[in-house]
Amino acid sequence: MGAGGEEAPRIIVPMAVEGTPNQLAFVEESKLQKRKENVDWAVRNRERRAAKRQRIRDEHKVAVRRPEEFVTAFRNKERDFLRMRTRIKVRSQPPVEALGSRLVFAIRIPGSVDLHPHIRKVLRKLRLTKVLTGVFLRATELTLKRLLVVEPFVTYGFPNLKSVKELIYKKGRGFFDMEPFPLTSNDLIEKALGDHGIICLEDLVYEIATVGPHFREASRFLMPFQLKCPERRLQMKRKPYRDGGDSGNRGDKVNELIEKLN
Amino acid sequence: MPKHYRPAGKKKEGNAAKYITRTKAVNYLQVSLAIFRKLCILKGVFPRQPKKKVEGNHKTYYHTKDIAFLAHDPLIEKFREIKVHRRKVKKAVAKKNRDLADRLLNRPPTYKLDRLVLERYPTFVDALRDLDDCLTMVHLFAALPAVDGERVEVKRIHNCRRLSHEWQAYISRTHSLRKTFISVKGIYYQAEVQGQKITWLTPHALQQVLTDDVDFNVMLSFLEFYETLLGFVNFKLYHSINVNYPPILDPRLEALAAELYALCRYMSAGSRRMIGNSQTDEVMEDKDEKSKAEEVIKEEKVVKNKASSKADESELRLAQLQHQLPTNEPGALMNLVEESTADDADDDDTKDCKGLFKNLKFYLSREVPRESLLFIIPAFGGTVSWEGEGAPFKEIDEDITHQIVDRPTQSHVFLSRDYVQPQWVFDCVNARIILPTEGYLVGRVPPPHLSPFVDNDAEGYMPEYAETIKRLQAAARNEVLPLPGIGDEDLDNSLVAAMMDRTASNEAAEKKRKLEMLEKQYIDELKKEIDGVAFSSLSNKEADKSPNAKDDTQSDREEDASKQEEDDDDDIGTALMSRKQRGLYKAMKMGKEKKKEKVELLKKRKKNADSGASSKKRH
Repeated sequence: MGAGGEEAPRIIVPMAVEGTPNQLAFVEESKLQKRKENVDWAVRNRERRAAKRQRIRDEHKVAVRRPEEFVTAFRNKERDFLRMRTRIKVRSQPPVEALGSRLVFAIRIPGSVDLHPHIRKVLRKLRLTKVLTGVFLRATELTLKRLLVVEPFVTYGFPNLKSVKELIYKKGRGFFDMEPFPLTSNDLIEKALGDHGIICLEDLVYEIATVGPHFREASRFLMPFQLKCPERRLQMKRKPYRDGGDSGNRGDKVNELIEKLN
Repeated sequence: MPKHYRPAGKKKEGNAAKYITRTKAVNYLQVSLAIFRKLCILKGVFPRQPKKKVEGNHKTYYHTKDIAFLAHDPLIEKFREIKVHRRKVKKAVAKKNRDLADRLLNRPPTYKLDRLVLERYPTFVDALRDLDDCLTMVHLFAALPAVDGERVEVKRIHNCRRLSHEWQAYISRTHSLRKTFISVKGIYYQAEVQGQKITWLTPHALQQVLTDDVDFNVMLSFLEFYETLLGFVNFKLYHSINVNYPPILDPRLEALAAELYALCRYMSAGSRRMIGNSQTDEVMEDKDEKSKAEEVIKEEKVVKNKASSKADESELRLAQLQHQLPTNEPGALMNLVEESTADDADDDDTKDCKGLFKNLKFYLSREVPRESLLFIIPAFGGTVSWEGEGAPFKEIDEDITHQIVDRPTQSHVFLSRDYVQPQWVFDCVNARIILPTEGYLVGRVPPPHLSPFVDNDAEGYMPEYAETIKRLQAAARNEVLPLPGIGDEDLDNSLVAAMMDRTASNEAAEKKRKLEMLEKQYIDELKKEIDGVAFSSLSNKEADKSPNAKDDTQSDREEDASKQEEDDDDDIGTALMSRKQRGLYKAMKMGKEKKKEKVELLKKRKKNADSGASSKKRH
């Protein structure tokens, strides 16, 4: 017991000039170090994640590709194109008035990366270029025809007010001045869509849900919604939904899918 | 860690035996640091600050008994199982054994935190006392999006949303809400449940952005425990008002984004059905429920066979599911008010809150925060509707007394209702009276929104609008009590007398000052007249100078004398104190001075604001 214990070094409080008893406001050095460490960790974490994503992308780029892959890709493209043409020719579209709702929410589902240029162009027109993204569309004949063209790669249905509201409130991103913005304040919405009478987030929800006169501007203002990949990756089949698959028209069942992905 | 026997000279004693560092604790428990953190959060173990830090100041210390407490918990074994299971799945995926991976993922090891809730909160009141952080966290995650990068699951967010709505429905149903405040961070609420004041913060109904500098793992661990805790609390609270838990919502209202309204309807139906039941009826109802469930199953099969579901059949199914829930008629929420009047067991506060918005009918425009007002207005006895399907009544209803509007202009105006901004509702709630609506009309800048959590008397500064509200409250109290009792009369009279005395004394003091000023002026004028008449200009100047000098010297002497007296008094008071008491007295003085400086700063700001406003008015 002879060693005893060393006393903790006491913190010397800095005094004001000229020896007055008032002490200056100060923060302990360890706390300042901790704050700096937190900031550094955040920066390092962000860089590490970006580097990981870039590394994965590079690995995919550098992979050696054999001639069979090109042949298979070409044949898949041709087959998809022929099926699309047959689908357009054979399938009869129900009239727009017979649908349950005039609002359509289309989701790009995971599928093939080999797309025919025509199908790719139609997907770009619908703004569904990334997997697990969704957009609101007005149910017109042209829109339904486009959805028929890209049916194996897209699933769509008629969302209810709850799904519309949750999507816009949680995943909505506005597009203003060539930049995406999170909808964290009503000022941005008023600046972008105030000319059309939409001044707040709830107005935006109302316009989308009721397919109002300014639906096109409101829909264009909203960028495609990035939906979350579920815990168990979906086994997305390319058969139509009514035939037991996952693509095509789901009707009202799209709300369950939205709830799973949002 | 503790040993049973060690020879003398080799024992650990004192702080070395009582406390253990984090590294040694993690090593002893044989878990990773992340799992250790999670265990500490779930079990409520936190670091300690021993007086003597044996291994250095920079380390984190835990109590040895706390670590032993963690070591004996079944959760630690369960977390090890989860880690092993995850490793197995990873190995199966790596070996491209997809079937095995799917099989393993279909049977993940799960655990429940029910035992922890009962362990940490033996009585219900203990749980209610700790509910502030729980509610704030649940409401925050209910508003967050489920983003891929973080480990925030979709199922969890929906669960938080459900729990927060259930809690709000209970508070609204029992009229337990007491205070509200809109701040930059969100909307604060305070409720009183079984005698405990519970305060929580709800984010604004706008999009929330996840930042990089927040460690969501810690928050998710807290959230995991808080979800279980709030589920238990909701269960007990719902059963205390004879409502089944978990509630079954109307899918149609749920699809129309009106969960809170659906919960209110469920609670009114449930309480109406449950109130008049005896035990035998309950047993019979259990059997009826089983038979009804079977009928529902049969009907579902029939519907599938028909391959088309009609509205009537769905409504019938809904009615059976809801046990004859009333249809969605206009004025359905009036039942809430009627039923609430039947309850006589409420305390005075609840009665006041119940009757505040009684007989008022509100309509919410599209742009106002709907969920917040749907929570507050029924909690104070009002009837409320909104724009859209599923609402109890429409905008063209003539009985609407107030329409909550937050838009610069209004397209169509009904003359029979007031168009007020949402702040009016919050201010009425905090003042417990119906405030006049002139200041809150559309297009005007509303009065300042004062915090109900600040005690103005203790602060020493009373804002102007707070005084106005106090006067309105006094007037309302006179109206509310036309025939007060003796005690109430005495209290009111004493309060009014005190106010009158204060105002009278202030006015008397001002009058005295004015009279003194007038007397001085009169005397000076008399002197000037006398001098003017009697002497020449030079003699006048000399005469003016000399009395001024005399007055200055006299006033200086008087001031010195008064200061000397005050200092003498202070010295006499402090001379008898001990050193410790003198230091304490000095600290008290410094605190009072700080408070006074704060009040002076507020007054200065108010003066600047007033001068700015007046200058604007001039322009």
